[in-house]
Amino acid sequence: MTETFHPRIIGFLCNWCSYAGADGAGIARLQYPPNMTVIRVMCSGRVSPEMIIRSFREGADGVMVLGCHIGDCHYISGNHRTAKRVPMLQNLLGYTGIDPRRLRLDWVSSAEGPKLAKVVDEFVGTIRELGPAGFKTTTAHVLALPVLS
Amino acid sequence: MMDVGRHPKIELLTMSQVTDIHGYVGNFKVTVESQPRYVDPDKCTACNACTEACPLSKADPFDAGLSTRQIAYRPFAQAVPNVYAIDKDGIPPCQTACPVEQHAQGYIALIREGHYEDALRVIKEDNPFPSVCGRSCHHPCEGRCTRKYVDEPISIMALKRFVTDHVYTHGLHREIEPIPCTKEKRVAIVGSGPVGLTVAQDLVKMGYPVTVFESLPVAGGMMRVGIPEHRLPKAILQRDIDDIVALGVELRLNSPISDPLELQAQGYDAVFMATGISRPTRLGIAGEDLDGFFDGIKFLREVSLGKRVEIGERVAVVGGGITAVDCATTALRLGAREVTLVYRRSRGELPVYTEEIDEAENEGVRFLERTMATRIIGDEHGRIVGLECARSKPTGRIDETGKRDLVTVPDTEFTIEGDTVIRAIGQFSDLSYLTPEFEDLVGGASTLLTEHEGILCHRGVIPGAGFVVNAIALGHEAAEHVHRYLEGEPLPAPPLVKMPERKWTRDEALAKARELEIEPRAKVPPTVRPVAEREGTFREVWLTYSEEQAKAEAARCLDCASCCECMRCVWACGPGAIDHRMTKEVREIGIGAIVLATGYDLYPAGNLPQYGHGRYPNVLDGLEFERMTNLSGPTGGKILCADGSEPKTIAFLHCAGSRDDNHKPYCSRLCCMYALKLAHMAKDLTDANVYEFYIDIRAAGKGYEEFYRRVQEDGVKFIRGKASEIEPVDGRLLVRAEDTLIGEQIEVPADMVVLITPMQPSAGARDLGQMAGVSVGKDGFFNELHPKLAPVSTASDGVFLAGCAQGVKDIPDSVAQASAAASKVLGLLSREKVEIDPIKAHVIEERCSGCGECVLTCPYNAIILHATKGCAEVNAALCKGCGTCSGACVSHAIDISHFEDGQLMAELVGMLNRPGEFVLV
Repeated sequence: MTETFHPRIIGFLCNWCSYAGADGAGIARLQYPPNMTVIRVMCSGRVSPEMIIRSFREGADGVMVLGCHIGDCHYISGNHRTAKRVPMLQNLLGYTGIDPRRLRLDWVSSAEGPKLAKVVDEFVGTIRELGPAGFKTTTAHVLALPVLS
Repeated sequence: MMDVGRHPKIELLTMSQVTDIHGYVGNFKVTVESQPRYVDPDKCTACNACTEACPLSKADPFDAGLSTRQIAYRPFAQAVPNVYAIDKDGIPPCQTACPVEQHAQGYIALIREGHYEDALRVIKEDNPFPSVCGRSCHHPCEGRCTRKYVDEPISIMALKRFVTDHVYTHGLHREIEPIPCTKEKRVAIVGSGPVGLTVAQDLVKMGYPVTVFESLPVAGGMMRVGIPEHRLPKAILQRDIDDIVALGVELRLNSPISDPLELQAQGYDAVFMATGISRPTRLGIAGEDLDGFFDGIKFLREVSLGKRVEIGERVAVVGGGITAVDCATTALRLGAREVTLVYRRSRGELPVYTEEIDEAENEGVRFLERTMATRIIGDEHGRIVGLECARSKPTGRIDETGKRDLVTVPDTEFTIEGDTVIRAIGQFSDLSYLTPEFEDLVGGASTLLTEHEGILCHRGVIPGAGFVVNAIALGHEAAEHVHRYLEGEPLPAPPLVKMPERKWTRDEALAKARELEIEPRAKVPPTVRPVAEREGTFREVWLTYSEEQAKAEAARCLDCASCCECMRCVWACGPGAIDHRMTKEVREIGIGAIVLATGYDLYPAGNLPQYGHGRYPNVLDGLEFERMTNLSGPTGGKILCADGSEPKTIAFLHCAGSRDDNHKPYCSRLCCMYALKLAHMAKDLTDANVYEFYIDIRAAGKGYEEFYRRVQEDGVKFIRGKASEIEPVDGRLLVRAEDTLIGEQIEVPADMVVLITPMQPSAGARDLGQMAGVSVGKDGFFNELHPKLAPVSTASDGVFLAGCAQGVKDIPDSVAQASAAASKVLGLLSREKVEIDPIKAHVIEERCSGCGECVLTCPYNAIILHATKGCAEVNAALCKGCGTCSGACVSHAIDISHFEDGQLMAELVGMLNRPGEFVLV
């Protein structure tokens, strides 16, 4: 197969730091791989484990959760929850056959456009090495029941 | 600024800091902590009297530390509000150590400046017996004096004595005008000792008519009859008593009181029992009733009252306090040939100062330590012939007074032959002169009230002798209690809020000594009268300082706390605006919008060691040079080197710390222009050659390029290349740089170098930003909402930015941005209602099991478990919409509007199932 592998990556970016950081990267005209699709959430604490698992099931090759640095959270301590939740999920992912490296948690502040570009670049590289995830369910999943499915 | 200061709708909160911000746009609650300025802004007329009165000065930050200003000050001539302030670091340790909180640093500063009358006045504000405490005080202040870390503590007690002696002997002015009686209720005080007279003085100052009853023919209590003439001359004590009586205290001598009820019958509304400690402790050994045995207190009293006291030739004194030493030295003066002081503990445990016991020994007192009296031996006529003693040793137990318990060593008994034994081992308070009904009279621990209405008393039987200064402290407390009792106010009084002590560590003290170039110098020793002159007389042993000695000793003070509380400003202030007891004020203000305009700090030039700012006196930073060019500045508008000469060559070093990854990577933008302005001023004010070392000249702005050209025409030499270092050579400063236009290393010898340092965010801006929900960028400046489209707004609704808080900018840009922020605020506040984000959490009740996980996760405590429904409930006013609850809910029972589970899932499913290449291009 000569076809190039284009990883599909979902990025959950918090509104105040990482999303603004991505804005900053754009304003500074920084180049980084276009493989990440951003889903804006108000806080990284909004991201439930289910959303991450669902991303893999829908065909994502990697998931990034980016939030404010600890202590900088716009919502005082929302990212403290993320800091506990995501590493816990990483531990469990191994049991399901998903390489824990396919889930990445990092902190990017609104001033860190260059860091955002670097983190995405690194992560895309990691996923390229790992190859396609292939956890997309083949059964007809129904959009009509997005929750409690 | 004046307009802002005068505007009726603008309230300026100076010396204030925001400590908390909560709420949301249109409805913020801001907590502001205002530091006290010790001057009432409503009363201050900015007359400068306090500054003229202030004896202390410190480096003036407004002149970049190049000049000094007084501690009572106005920051600068055009300050708004035009109100003075006083700089305080805390309470100096000597003051907190003192039971009556004497303003020791204050009167030391006044002695140094030669204001002796004022020194005595400030001493007398807290201590009615300065002459006594200048001679006989245990001076805990000296033990806490910071100077001890450098060499020796200041002789604070000797300085106090100097002030009193100087003022009285030179007949200087004292505040002893009779105080008008403004209150009706009368107070009787029984006892004229330090407590009684202090209570009397304080109450007379409050306006009460006060009568003091004393059983002896003289006033002063233990100070009069317990301290012998050669340590405290009676005439000296009488000065202090006369000053108190002069205030309007009625003193009745020879008036023993045995029934306080009689006083009440005479119409006194309050009676305070201030009779002290005259009941002796017994030794508890055989022979205390023999002929030739004296009780120390009684012995001293008889001698003091001028009665004839017959003592023998060989005297033994038992005890080790100052009373024992006094008894021994008095016995010598009465003609005893041989005096032995018997003390059961070691010399180091003696509760007197070493010089006191040393002088007693010089006079001929024999000192026996670790010796216990076991028996007084009498002959058949009942006369004393000797004192049997034994060596003592500690048992290892601690007795009830906190000291080690002692026992005699068997078979070490020996006899001191003699005919007189004086017992001086402490005494108790004594109320035995009262009618039996009152013998157990005792004041409440916190109120001093007794079970008898209208009668107040000290705290009952106090073992051991007290110190005069503690007695005075009790007096002040008692006066306050009597006043509160008479006014019907609750007792005890609520505790005063005091400033914390300005504590110093050894390292801090040594650093300050180095900074002020203080050489270790021992204290000025007080002069002692030669032994030959003392023999057989009661002339005072210790002599007072001379004026020169006192000034030299006072000059050793390190000025621990900024303000010394000498009270001179208080006396000088006509409108009575100064109050040293002000405390910080915390208040919560409701506001609609916030503008963050915290400005900038100058990057410290000392961070650039290669340029030697702080080491080489002629290396200045831009602000220091700017102050020099100012007519009202430290040099009156002259540009002068440290030696006072005019510089022949001045070099300006651009980008000192900016455009440098080791310091500040950004261009500080306006430094080029202010360097050009300073160069222009330098050319204007001096004949010097002026060099500008620059990387690029950034003169973008209206009229800036024209000004650049004008400075070039002034003859300023521009060298394109950043200076690498400065080296002092032959008294000048050699500036090394590469001239990048000719590609050569050059060296320019200069007399003065000015470092053009960048701006940096002001200290504390980051913390303020966290409170207001505004993040800072990598350089530490506040982040605007959008760099192009919303340069004044922030990510937090209702919070706006202006000036250098947002990023470096010059004055026109700052003013423009401030106007923009103001119009944004007006736009916001002119609306009747503000719109807030509709992003809020809501509970889907039929799914909620009431597990409470969301309650735990919510950072704002916006979720509670409903008491009856058994499910969670969201308070929408508190919810900020972060969604942490929703991320934690396993049953999808709590959701965030606009970021619902379903919406986010649909988003990601849509993204991942998009046909074609995933990559967005």
